[in-house]
Formats: sequence, C-alpha cells, structure tokens
Amino acid sequence: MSFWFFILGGIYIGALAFATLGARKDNKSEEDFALAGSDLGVVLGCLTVAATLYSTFTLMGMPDFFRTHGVGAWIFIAVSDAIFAFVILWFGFYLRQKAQRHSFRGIAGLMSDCYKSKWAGYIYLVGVFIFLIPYVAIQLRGIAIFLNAAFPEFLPVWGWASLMVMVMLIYSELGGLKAIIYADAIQGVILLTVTLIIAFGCIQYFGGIGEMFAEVEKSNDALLSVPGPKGLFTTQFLLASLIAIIMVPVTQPQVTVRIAIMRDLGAMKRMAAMLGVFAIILLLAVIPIGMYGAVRYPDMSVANFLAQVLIHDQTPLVAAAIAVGLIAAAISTSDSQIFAFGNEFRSVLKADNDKSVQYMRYVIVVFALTALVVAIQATDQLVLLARVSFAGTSLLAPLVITGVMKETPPPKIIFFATVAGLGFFLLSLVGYAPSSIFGLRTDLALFIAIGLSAILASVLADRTANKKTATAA
Amino acid sequence: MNSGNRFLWRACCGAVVFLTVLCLSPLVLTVGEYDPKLAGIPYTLWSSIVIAILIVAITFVGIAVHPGEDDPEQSSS
Repeated sequence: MSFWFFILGGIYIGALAFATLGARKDNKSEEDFALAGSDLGVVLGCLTVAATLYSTFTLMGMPDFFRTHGVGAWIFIAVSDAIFAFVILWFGFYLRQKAQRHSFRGIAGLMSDCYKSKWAGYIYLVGVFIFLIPYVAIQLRGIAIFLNAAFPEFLPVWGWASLMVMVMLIYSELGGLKAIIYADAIQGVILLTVTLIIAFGCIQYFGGIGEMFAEVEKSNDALLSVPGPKGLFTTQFLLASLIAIIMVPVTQPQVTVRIAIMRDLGAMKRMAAMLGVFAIILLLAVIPIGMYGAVRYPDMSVANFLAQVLIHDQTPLVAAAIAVGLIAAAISTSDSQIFAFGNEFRSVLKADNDKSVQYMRYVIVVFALTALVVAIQATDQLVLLARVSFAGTSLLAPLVITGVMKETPPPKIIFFATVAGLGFFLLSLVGYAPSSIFGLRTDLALFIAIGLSAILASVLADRTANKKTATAA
Repeated sequence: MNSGNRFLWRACCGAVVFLTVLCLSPLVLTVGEYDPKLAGIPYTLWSSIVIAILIVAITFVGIAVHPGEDDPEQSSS
C-alpha cells in the first residue's frame, strides 16, 4: 500500500502543482486572484461546490453516522442536500442580481452595501469566523487521525494536520481562487470514484442490497428506522439540521461566492441541478459503507473503523487511492473555507485593491493557523461538530436573505437580533444557556426567532416608508 | 422577471416545501418501524430516497421554468 500511496500521492501533488502554475499564469489581476475572473462554467462550478461540501465529512463522518445512528442519516444529509440544490436555484438569482449591481467582492462587503452600514459586514464576518473555524478544524483533524491510524509509524496527528495546512497555504497563496477551483475539480472526481469503488465492494461482501439490510437487521434492527439506536434522529433534530444545511448556500462564503462568480445565470441554474445529481449518487454510495461497518465493526472506535473499512479491507491500490482522495478532500474543503474567509475580510476593507489582497493573504495564514490549533484540540465527533458549524452560520441567514432580497436598506434591528442569537447559541454550546427553549432545540428556536424578527422589522419599515410617501404626496 | 413562467416556478417551490414537510412527517418517519420494505430496503430509507430524487427532478424542472434572467446591461459591463 505504501508504494501505491507514494505513486498516487506524487501524481496528486504533480496535478496540484500543474493546476497552481496554470492558475497563476491565468491570473491577470488581483480580482482574478480573489474571484477567479468571475467566469465559472457548469462542470467546474458543480465540481468545486461539491468538493467544498463533500469532504472528510462525507467519506469518513457519514459512514460512521450510518453505522452508529442508522438510516435516518439519509434524511439528515441527502434530503437536505437535494433541497440545498433547489435553494441555490432560488437564492442564487437574487444574489447574482445584487452582486451585479454592487461590484461584488464578497458577501460581507455586499451586506455592508445592502444595509448601508459597515456593521452588517462585520457581523457576518465575525459569525463566519467563529463557526467556520470548527468546520475547517474537523476536516484537518478527521484526515489526520485517519492517516495516523493508517500509517502510525510516519507522523503524529498534529504532524499530518500541519503538513496539510502547509500544502494548502502554498498553492492557495500562489494560485488564488482559480488554483483552489482546479484542485476542487480533481478532488471531486477522486472522491466520487473512490466512494463508488468502496460501496461496490461493501455490497459485494453481502451479495446484494437486500442481503445487506437483512444482515443489518440481524445485527441491530434499530439502525433500520428512526430515531436510530441512540435516539438521535428525532423530527426536531432532523428539521433543525435540515435548516442548518439548506442555509449553507446563503451563509457560507465558500459556496455563496461560487454562486456569484458563475459565468451567467443559466450556468448557475445547471450547476445547481447537476450538484443535486452528484449529491444523490455520492450519498447513495455512502450507505453501504456505513451498513458494512454496522455489521462487521459495530463496536470499533471511529478511527479504527475507518482505517479498517477504507484501508485494510481494500486492495493496496484502492487503499492508496482512498488515502490520497481523503487528503485531497480535506485539503480542498479547508482551503476553500480559509480562502473564502480571507476574501470576506478583503470585501469589507476600503483599502485599494493591491493592499486589500495583501491583507487578505495575511488573514488566510492567520485563519489557517487558528484552524490548525483547533484541529489539534478538537474531538473526533466529526459530523456533530460540522452540524454545530452549519447551525451557527445558519443564524446569519435572516441577515443575508433580507439584505439580498430587499430593494431598500433593511432595518438595523436585524443586526441586534442576529448578534443576540449568535451570542445565545454560543453560550448554549458551552453550557451557560439552555439547550432548549419552550421545548424547541436552541438552534431551531433561535433561527425561528431571528427569522421572525427580520420579517416583522422589514414589514414595519416598509409600512412606515409607504406612509411617509403617501403623506408627502 | 418573466411573468409567463412565474406560476410554474411557484408550483415548483410549493412542491419542494410539500415534499420536505412530507419527509419530516410521521408518514415517512415511522418510529421503530421498517416495513414495508422495497427490495429489502427499509421503509424510511426508500421513501426518503424517492423524495430526494423527486426534489432533484423538480430542480431540473425549475431550470426550465425559473422566470429570472441576468441583467444584460450589468452582465456585459
């Protein structure tokens, strides 16, 4: 396996270097560096959005989620991702309209323009910083613990995580967003291919899909229904998770920016639909991997289960391809987020373009190092930590949607509602605020409260404006 | 926005909302039950797979009927 790992790893690094140099050559301006020339086609657009979404979370977190909590994981991730594609279609149109009118640099800058207040941009930036850090960290940690389990003699967990941060910083600093998008495309193809190969192997082990579920029924029949053996998949949990996931195209800059820089609206629409198909195929392939784990390795730790199913039960060539694919997945998702945060920082700066890109490069390094520190300290509950990240950023959705949808600057009270909601959610995470409000999960209750505040404040502001116009007339 | 397709687009949005509610209702989330199976696949799983595929299909329909267009002046600038 080590032989193939170094061969395939070398090919991957070579492809990255080639993509980075190509992107560097294409980058004619600082805008090209930050926004890839705003000319993204359908296939590249789909692969880059897919790669930023489907990462170690998908190939490592989700099989473990199916193994531990059962078939409800499909609704948690796949139904949410199908709706996610539709949300791109719906929200993307309005976003692109606003982006075209306001010389788009990033969502934080766009919010400042829409609200006619720099505070809107700052709130968005801080919210994204707080909740994207754990998401980047789990990518790094997920793959680092896996590589440490697969190659215990090579490097410790922190060593693998540091190595990946170094690689991603080099190519994103050199080639900008275009290099990241090319790397994403490579990763998207690798991820889909290796996941399908593992899935076919798992189904073959059982002799068919029906036989697979029959074995799971014998092993632990609670996995075949909701809420699952540990009672996780309640309706409320699934609803709160669904909201958190479908709001990703609205709130998480690594996705939102890609929607805004698609070549035209037609390309964006086709990308959304293609992404839906990609999601369904990829996530269908994840189910047998989880079910295989439920039958063969029900009591193993997460790291050992993944090392077993992804490496030891595969042929050396496939195992090496999986290991390289996982590294690619972790790197492409993490660098997309780190770069997106850097770009958001740039978008709220009023400095000239050269200087703002220079600051952006510094911020990318600081953000990457912060994520690395969190990665070394984080827990191994990849999916649940990702969910916290999604839930946190989803609280920014009313702020962003109102800013994008309204023609006039929305009322500033939405800032207070958002800040209060984010603060309360953070306090609930560390145990200083309740985990439920009036019987609702805190994240769900806060999303509803902030959303209603935004709607109510907008309606009242419109009425007041209409009255003033009528009086003046 | 082109008003001709507006009704169809809204119907697509309505259909996605309906399928989401259906997926989170007791009709799909049957607690502790996994029958009737389809080709051995437990009920909650196969029914939610069908729902996810339908939502993606509606997204394809949505491409055709979405009434929005890029602002040609802004796009060309």
